[in-house]
Amino acid sequence: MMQTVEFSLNGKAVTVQGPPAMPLLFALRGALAHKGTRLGCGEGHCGACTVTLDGVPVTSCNTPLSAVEGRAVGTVEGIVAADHPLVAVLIRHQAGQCGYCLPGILTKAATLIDQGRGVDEICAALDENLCRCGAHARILAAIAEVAS
Amino acid sequence: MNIPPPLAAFPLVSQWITFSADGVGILSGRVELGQGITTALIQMAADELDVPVEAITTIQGHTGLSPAEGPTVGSLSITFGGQSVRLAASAARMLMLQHAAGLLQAQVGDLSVREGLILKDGVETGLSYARLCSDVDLAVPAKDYAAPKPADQRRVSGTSVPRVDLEARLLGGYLLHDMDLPGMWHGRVIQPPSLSATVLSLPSLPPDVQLVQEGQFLAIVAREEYTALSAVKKVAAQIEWTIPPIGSVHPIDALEGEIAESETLYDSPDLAAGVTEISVSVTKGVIAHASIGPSVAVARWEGEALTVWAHSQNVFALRTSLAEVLGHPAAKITVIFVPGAGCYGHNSSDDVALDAALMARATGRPVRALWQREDEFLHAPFNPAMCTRMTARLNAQGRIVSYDARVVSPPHSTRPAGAEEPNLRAQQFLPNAMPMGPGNDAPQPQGGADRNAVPGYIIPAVRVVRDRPAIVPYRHSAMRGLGALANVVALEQLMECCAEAAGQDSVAYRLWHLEDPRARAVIEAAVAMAGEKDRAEGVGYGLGYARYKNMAGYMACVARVLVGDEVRVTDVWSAADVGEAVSPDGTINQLEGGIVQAISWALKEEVSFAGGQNLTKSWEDYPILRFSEVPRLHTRLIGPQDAAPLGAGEVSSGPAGAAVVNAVRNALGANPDRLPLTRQALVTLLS
Repeated sequence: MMQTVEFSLNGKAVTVQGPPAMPLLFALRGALAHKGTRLGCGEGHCGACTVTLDGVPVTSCNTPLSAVEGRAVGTVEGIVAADHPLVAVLIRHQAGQCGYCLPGILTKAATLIDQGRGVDEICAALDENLCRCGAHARILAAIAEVAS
Repeated sequence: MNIPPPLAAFPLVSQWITFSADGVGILSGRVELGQGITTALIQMAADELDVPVEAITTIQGHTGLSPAEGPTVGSLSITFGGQSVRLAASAARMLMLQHAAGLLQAQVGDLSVREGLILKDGVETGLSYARLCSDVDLAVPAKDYAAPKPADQRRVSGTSVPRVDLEARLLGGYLLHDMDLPGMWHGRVIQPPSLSATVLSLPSLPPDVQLVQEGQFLAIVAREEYTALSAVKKVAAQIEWTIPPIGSVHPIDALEGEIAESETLYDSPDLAAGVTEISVSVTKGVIAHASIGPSVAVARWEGEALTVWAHSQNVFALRTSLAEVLGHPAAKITVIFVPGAGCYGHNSSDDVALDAALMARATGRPVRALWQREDEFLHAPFNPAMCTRMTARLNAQGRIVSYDARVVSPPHSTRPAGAEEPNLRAQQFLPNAMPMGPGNDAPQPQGGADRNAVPGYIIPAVRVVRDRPAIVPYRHSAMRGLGALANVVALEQLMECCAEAAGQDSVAYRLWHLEDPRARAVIEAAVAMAGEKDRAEGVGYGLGYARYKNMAGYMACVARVLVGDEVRVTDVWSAADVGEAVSPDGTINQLEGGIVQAISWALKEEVSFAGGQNLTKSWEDYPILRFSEVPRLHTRLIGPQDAAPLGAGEVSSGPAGAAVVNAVRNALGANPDRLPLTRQALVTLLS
């Protein structure tokens, strides 16, 4: 069974067809060609697939497509296209190595910065995002620079 | 001139450097694993060629185009691969200038280069690399023309230019995970539950998917990724397998059991008795590479020609390994590296390349194969469990007069090695099933399991024995630093114990056993950086030092821990001497990444087994260090920029792990003998 789902993606209306249970991640990476959002574990444990849903960071690998009908989805492409200040600061701090985790972290951190959250709160929220290369301290330094 | 091994094997300038109207190209066998090697190679070439960083592109890890340098491992990419590029680039510049001198009827000494433009007496000549790109024969030996610039004339190397690839990594399209070919389908392998399991019956297939079955190799392929994923979960749950009994021996117990092979690697005839004998023992469990991104590969057959895109550490060995397993001539296989997630050693990136090739062959389509998180935790190679016991004997003055170590561990490499030992997981399940090879450890002084088991301290008599356990109920292979973590943890704990027995300060005691000024300097610097120690409740400080492989970078770390129910590392102060640091901020990033990873290994990580059965399936079963647990990092490079580059990627693991374990020892007054230092391990240690 396929369902047609309409939602806003980085501020633009999109329509996508897919099985209702299909995670949003596969619609983003597939038909919508937004591949910045990455498949890590597929179980909501690592945060590599983090997007925003009505401004709240969620893991798109376990958010069913049917759940986003009529809602606003934000991805890393939107953060970069809007020239969010965290992007340039992350790069200046060389806040990453392989970068597989970075789109999810950037999406969450930029969103929380824009909502006026403090560094400690953002750091606590990032405990749901795994980084294996060990770039955490640089990422937090970049966030602190932009958030303050 | 010191010719690094890759340049000796591929001596021609044209094998490393290309010129075109658009700029300069570097050909390299060293691949970009997230460690920043692309940026560093470009910096080294930019200096020699006098071109801007932006004018240089690279082709890295392409079996048809790159010099077959072998694997990107061992912190050797700058030391060998980068130095080869530097010499070749230097020679390329000279060849260009010689040709220009002929055209201009000038002396080479009157010519110079600015941003790729050739100048005479500082004035533009109308000639440039771009203009001459077709006219100069680069197929000549680099060593005959290379004269690399002295360190003080380098303008780009030694500065922290921004990573050339980091911005691209923030979006889709850069990683192999994002690759899309016309007509490409998506595949997921169904992992047999044990190596000798056989399929009894298969369920009916969901619509829109194709089953690939060759022997016990099973995979589901579909046009849409989610179709393949949901089908594979459904089908895998319904397959009936005959599963032979799983062994009952736990990986740790196997270290205490029968020894299959014992080898004395380093021996001194006279292990003097001394007046005091001090022993330590450190055991660690099986550790996973645990990349955030599951391994992926794309394969396409066009007639007899097979192209595989992989994020392998060694595309050259992967090609010959694929040839062996597929029964297909290597000459008709091209393997092209495309970056994936960080791997930290031999993970499943090569395995999935064979999976993709098999799926593409069976379906007649390009296929993108991706492992699942659970596949990685259950079936990828792991850093092996090991146990290191060390004994030092002290004379009446407290100085160490003899030392012996026994390292019990499986080999730390079962990397794909071509025809002899392809070592790709699916080879075990095909109709012409091939067992995996036994693997090996590099000989001393590098060593594998025994890496850094030979002490870097001055000790007159040393013996090191390496024992192989007869039972190894998991796949074991290379991970960052190999045996250095356990061995440096044990050795540095031994030095603490010996210093106490000798009644000496442990820093002074180490320095008493070290003459190399570079070794002494990193210890003195790290201790000075840490400054005054506070003595709050539960606080401990520890020092860890090693020269990686006893021949590469020097590093010392001081860790401050707070021990309550769990261990929390609050600060790590580190000083490193890696010789020339081409991209200092990148070098520090590598060192710090290694520190964070070593803390995670030492405090949290172990693949859990019941007997020989691996129980680890998800991140919930395998915690790693998280954002709020990462300490403040204070890291300095103190090496001379005019010294040879020694490599950096693996240098910090041993010293950082040792510093943390010694800090816990300091806080608790007990010798930690079992890693990871989880809450449970602390309870056991104190009881």
